[in-house]
Amino acid sequence: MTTMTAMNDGCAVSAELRGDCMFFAKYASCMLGCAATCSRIQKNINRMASAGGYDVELTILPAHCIVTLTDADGMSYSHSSTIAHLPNDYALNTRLSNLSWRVAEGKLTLAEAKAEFPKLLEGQRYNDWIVLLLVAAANAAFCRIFGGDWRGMCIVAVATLIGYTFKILLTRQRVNYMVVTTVSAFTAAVVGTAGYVFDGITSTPEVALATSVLFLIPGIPYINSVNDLLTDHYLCAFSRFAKATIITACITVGLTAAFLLMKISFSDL
Amino acid sequence: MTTVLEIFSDGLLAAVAGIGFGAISNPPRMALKYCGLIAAFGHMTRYCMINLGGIHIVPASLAGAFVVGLLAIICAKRVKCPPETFAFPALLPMIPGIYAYKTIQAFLLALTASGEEEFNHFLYICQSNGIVFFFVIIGMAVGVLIPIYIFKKISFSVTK
Repeated sequence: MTTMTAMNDGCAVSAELRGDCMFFAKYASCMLGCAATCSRIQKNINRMASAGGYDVELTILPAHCIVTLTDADGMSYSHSSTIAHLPNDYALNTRLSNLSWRVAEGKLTLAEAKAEFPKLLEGQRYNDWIVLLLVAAANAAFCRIFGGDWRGMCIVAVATLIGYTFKILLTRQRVNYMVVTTVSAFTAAVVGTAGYVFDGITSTPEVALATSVLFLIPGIPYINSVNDLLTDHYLCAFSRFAKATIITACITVGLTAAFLLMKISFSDL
Repeated sequence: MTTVLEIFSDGLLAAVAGIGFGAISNPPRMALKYCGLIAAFGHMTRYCMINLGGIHIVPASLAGAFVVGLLAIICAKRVKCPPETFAFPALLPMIPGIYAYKTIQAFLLALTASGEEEFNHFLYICQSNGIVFFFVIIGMAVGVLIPIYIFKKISFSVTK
């Protein structure tokens, strides 16, 4: 996460105001990165700023957020922070929201909150391989919901296991998310064509193939984008929608490449 | 009896999907089981409305999401997490993913169309899937937000 400081009115600004402003900017950037909604971030920051005796303005841009903090003497300071590249993390969202309440209720000072903040970012995630099994079961259940048979569910589970493994391994190598999505969709879809390749293995090959890549659909960004749209955060809404659409396009490219490789017609789906 | 079994079977599958897809978003451990439970009730609501009531997927998704939002508020109070922690992962089984990528796939295939008829066919698939996807997502977001904003005080203070 890189940060950039904006200039204020040219007067000397206290180190406390500067430090608090930088903290709020980093806090907002982490909240945005872990998929919190704009309305929640706004409320959390307002709550902490009020407790510290500040007025705060938060500007959320597609890749940055800018916090302008004004103290009781009318001195203001702005700080811009690049939105952190974090995976969706509701546990982190919960911890950071709780931090804002502890500051608002006077259980923590802003200085103590700043000291605790880096520790909160280091919370544990679920083990990747346990998530892999849960996602495979989830996608197989999806296949059943869409009318797939038991053999179709097995194909989808295997396709998901392989596709999601690629996602885990490539993400660990810090490969670009578009490449990760395309490769994962391609491998999952190639396995998902098993119903066509091995004739008669399942009576619903089209359902198995169509659902094999659904674990990659960026559901949370789509819901967040509409949420932001309905709460007047249009810019963030469109940037989240654009990113979700790019991921969906990458899934489609991977799926279409698998269709071409396995010589399957679009009309089969 | 068969219908009741089908409804519960739909709920069970949605719960598995809710837990599995929810785990990707790393909800607190205490919250994960509630994601599954809420997903089941939301999806069963939509299933009943579509299959028993003959209602279109858009209003049915709105109603399902409304149920998800209401239950998320109750669970949020119990586990002290933001309601989005339960509601958004629980909505994932209702996301019309197939509509989403069929929209883009048909859009790409329109490029390769050899004549006007084929081009119009792909454009039709693109538009029809895109419209359904767009309105289902809007309906889901509106449905889940109504309870969250009706009970705004609870929604934004549960993490105290």
